Amino acid sequence: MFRKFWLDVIFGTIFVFGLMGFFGSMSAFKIFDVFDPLGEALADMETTDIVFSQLRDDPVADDRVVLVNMGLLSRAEIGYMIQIINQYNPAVIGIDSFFYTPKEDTLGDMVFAEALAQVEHLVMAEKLIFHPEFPEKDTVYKSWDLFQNMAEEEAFVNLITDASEQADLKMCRTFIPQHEINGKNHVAFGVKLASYFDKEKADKFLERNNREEIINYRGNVIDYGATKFGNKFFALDTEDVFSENFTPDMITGNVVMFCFLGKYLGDRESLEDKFYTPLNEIYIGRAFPDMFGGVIHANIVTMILNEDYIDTISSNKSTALGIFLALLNVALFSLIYKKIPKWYDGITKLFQLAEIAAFTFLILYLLDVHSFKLEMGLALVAIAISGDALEVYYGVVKNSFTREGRRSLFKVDKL
Amino acid sequence: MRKLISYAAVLVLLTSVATAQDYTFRVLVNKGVNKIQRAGGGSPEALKTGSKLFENDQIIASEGAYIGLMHKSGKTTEIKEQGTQKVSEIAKTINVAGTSITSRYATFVANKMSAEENTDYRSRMNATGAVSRAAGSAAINILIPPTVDVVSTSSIIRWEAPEEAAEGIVYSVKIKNIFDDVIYEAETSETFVEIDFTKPEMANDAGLYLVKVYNTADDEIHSSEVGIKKVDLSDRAEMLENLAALKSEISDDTPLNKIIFASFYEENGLFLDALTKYEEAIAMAPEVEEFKSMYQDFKIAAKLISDESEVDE
Repeated sequence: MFRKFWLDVIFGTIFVFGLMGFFGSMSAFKIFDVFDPLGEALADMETTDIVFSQLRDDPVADDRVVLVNMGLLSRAEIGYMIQIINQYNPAVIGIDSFFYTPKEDTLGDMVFAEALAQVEHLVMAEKLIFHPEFPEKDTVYKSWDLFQNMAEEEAFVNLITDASEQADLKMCRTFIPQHEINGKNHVAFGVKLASYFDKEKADKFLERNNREEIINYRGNVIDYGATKFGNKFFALDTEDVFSENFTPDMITGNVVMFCFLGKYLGDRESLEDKFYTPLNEIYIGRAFPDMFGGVIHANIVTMILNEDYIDTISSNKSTALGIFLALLNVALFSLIYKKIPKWYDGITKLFQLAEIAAFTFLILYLLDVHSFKLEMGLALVAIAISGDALEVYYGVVKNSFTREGRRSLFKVDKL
Repeated sequence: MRKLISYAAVLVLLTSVATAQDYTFRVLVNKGVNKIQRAGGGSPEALKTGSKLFENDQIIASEGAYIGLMHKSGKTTEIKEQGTQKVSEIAKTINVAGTSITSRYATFVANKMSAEENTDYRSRMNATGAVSRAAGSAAINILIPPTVDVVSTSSIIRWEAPEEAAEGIVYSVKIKNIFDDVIYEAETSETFVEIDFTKPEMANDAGLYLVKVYNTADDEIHSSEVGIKKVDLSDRAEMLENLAALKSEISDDTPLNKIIFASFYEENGLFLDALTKYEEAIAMAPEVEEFKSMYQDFKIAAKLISDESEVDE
């Protein structure tokens, strides 16, 4: 009896996953997409976005990172800005922009190059271009040699999004810390900048050796409510730099990043290099991107310097967890089905609702309090369908395999 | 007496150090002509990013100001309203302790439950179904990365016609050196030109060519400027060795061999050379669909066109 019960449980669990696989393959052909506007609307949302966007306690600001807006200035003007900032001895200056070719204004190019040459610790951006099929054909785009060669280090500024090109709307949750191309190890911009402030912490971060890291977002710069945490880094606009309307000690020894933060600081209309992030105040059906790329790099720097990483479980462990929870559910529901069949529907539905609520809360709690992202997508779906699927298993599948069951299908009792 | 003076000096020093460290806020962001009135009196001074604000200071925010402040605890707040505010008053609004998890979750749920649908149409008509017009130009997409190394002596420069381009459009191709001198200019109704770098007028010591394609009839319509750089022999010695070995093994006169060269160039990031070889191979064997398919894949992989773009054959 005991053995028969657990065999039923195992086959029931297999049936649950089989059903999930069937519906999964149907959705892979997008058969149901036309009837699923809700699913489409939620496609770019993750449950954990609620933590970043709504639940997280107001994080402290980071006074080790200074963002300088380059706006729409010419190269000569950017060069002058670099010279002004550089005289206050930052730990490093990162240029989060590309200058691919010389301009008509040769003098401007010379001024810019001269300014770069004066920076002791300069990190220039590079862009990794991934070949869709052959990794050996991966390549790197850089600024014009005259500028790029001034850099002490180069670091890639790619972030992981679903966008096919820069102009597309893009959601950024993760980044790649390092990537090897043709034998050379390339490091992410934020990681490289952090290494100038605290090499030990940056090395420790890289030693985690994760292919992809979740960005533990802390906040934005001036964003007028696009996120809840809009004021977490020092930010200088172009005129602040030219008029030296800042105190030198905010620069000295700190990480300074020259990046595009709009035509002016607080510009809400410029969408170039602007991303959706999990901090977006509107976490479902987002309307406007909330964060410039430079600020995302700043968040990465802060995450590394605070050693406040987000851990997660591997997909194998996540699958094992899903199977284990589904098995427990099927065992419990089988017991109810056999012992108190009249109560089956009501009790299983209530139990499923309670379970999903509890696990959702657990996911949010772990991320919020312990910076741990628990991947339970498979487990939650298995729990959600296990009650009904098990009824189909016992009512249709099992009966189909017994003579008595098949006979009862065609036998109509008198009313 | 001397001892007393020493103690007093140390006390003053300690007090000043303590005061210097004991700021209440630091300015993270400062937009507008904002000022700070220090506690000691005197005229207000300009507020600077990074300034430290003490308990008895006052902030004078200008019209349209945005002042981002970081409390000594690291918590942040902002000032967006015009007027004078005491630093001590602002400090009272900072919740240093943070809120408990239960309270945050409860507030979130309560806010969701009590959220009311906004049915007032007046407050929902801020957007219009129109755009503000600005003069713009339809771009010409040149099929070259922003900068590219080139090793061959001639290259095909190809571009895509701008969307909704009129028939019979004539293009001007201008190539400049780094001193902004036009060293090559050509007009064509095709969407490509072939450039021979060995011609005397193409002599260029810096080895960098800046290429831009214009609509001859309207030079507001143009491509982005791209840089073609003669490959640096010292930097790419290994690649050049491999290329020499490849050339010694196969000739460059059959379509298939050209595809092999194209693949070699692609692998080494020499996208313009690769594009040229693909085009030459397709020109020699236009009936081979695989070559066209490989060429299309190359252009997508090299980000010369997007997946959705159609190739202008």
